Amino acid sequence: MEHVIFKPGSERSWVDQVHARAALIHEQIALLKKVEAQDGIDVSGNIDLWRDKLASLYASEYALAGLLDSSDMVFHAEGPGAAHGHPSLASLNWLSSSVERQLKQLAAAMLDSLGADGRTLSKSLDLRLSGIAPGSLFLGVRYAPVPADLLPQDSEAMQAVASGAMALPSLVRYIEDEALDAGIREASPDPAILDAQLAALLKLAPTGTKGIHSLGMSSRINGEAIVGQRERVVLRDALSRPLDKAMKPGSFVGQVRETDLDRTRVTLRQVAGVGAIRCVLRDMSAADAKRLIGETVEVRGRYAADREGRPRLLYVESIHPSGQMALPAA
Amino acid sequence: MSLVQGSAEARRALLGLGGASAHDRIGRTYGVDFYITLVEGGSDFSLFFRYVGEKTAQAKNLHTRDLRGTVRVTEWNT
Repeated sequence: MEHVIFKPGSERSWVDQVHARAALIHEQIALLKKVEAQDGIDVSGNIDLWRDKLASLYASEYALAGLLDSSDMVFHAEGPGAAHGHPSLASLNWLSSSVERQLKQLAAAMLDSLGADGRTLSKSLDLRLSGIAPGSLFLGVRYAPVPADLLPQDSEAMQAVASGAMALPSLVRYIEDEALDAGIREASPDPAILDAQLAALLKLAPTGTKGIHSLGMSSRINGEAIVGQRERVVLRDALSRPLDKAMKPGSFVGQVRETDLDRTRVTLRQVAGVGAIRCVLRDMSAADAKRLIGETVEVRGRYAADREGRPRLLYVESIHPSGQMALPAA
Repeated sequence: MSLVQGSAEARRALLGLGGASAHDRIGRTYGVDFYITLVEGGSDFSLFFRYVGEKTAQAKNLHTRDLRGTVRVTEWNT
């Protein structure tokens, strides 16, 4: 008799595993038919049971197995809008548009912080739908290969973007009941990148208004982590104040680039000896923030540095056009 | 259950417990997902239950190679 195609310890996909489990059922059906021929026993009830099991296996697991095999990230929505079998279109739309928007915004913010042109490069970020699986609502996303015509440094930055997104589930585990665990700074050691990742997590955490109460996310390197209302509260608070207790005062001159639509984050580029610094502007009006875009300014404040001591995230206390008198930022 | 050991009557009696209706009845009565499996040529159906399902794997960051543990229940005569 043909034996199972999947051997424990071998490298197989999730779809292969579903087929391997199905093969075990087919083997039982074949053996039952052998007993029927040998002993003259009616085994139709036994075969019916195995066929039900086979149908259930493919119906409940095959689609998700294919999604896991072909996705860089899988998002999993839970709530009344994602009810088993027939998720609402509003929930599906919320999930797909949120995921695309936040992964693109995260990419732009990360690229800016890495000294690349985030706004331009993030447009070439090619996110593909790898599939949707029922049984609550699963949505898979794949990062298409980086375009071959990019400059080598831009290509590296684009690859870092995918890694930064795929690390999101690991960061969720540092969200405690009332604050972030300090270990999160070791998990994502660049304060600017971490700030962008936390902002993406906050915006991915559902408010519950579209019938989704929680959102799970997993990647090839990280198991599922879930964000919901509790995480929203902690993330919002964490983004409003410095995580790093050992900040240093500093003053930098550079060009302002828009980063986040919520106006609290901009990137200061072309800073001599530093490159790019992500800046936190608290309570700045939309008009003031818009006026700064493209300007060369001097900012003062306190900054968090990376492991090499480079300034990466600046909490701005004052900002003014380069060569003019300082105005308070908040 | 082996195909070559025991009598045809024994196989008939045991397979009677392994049909769809018996499976439903045993499930309702005892809360057990009960299957009779046939063994021949090294076939090992217990492997079916040792595979980690996709949802569990996704939640716990497990791999296709990871297997669940199994418990063998044996009669204990005091």
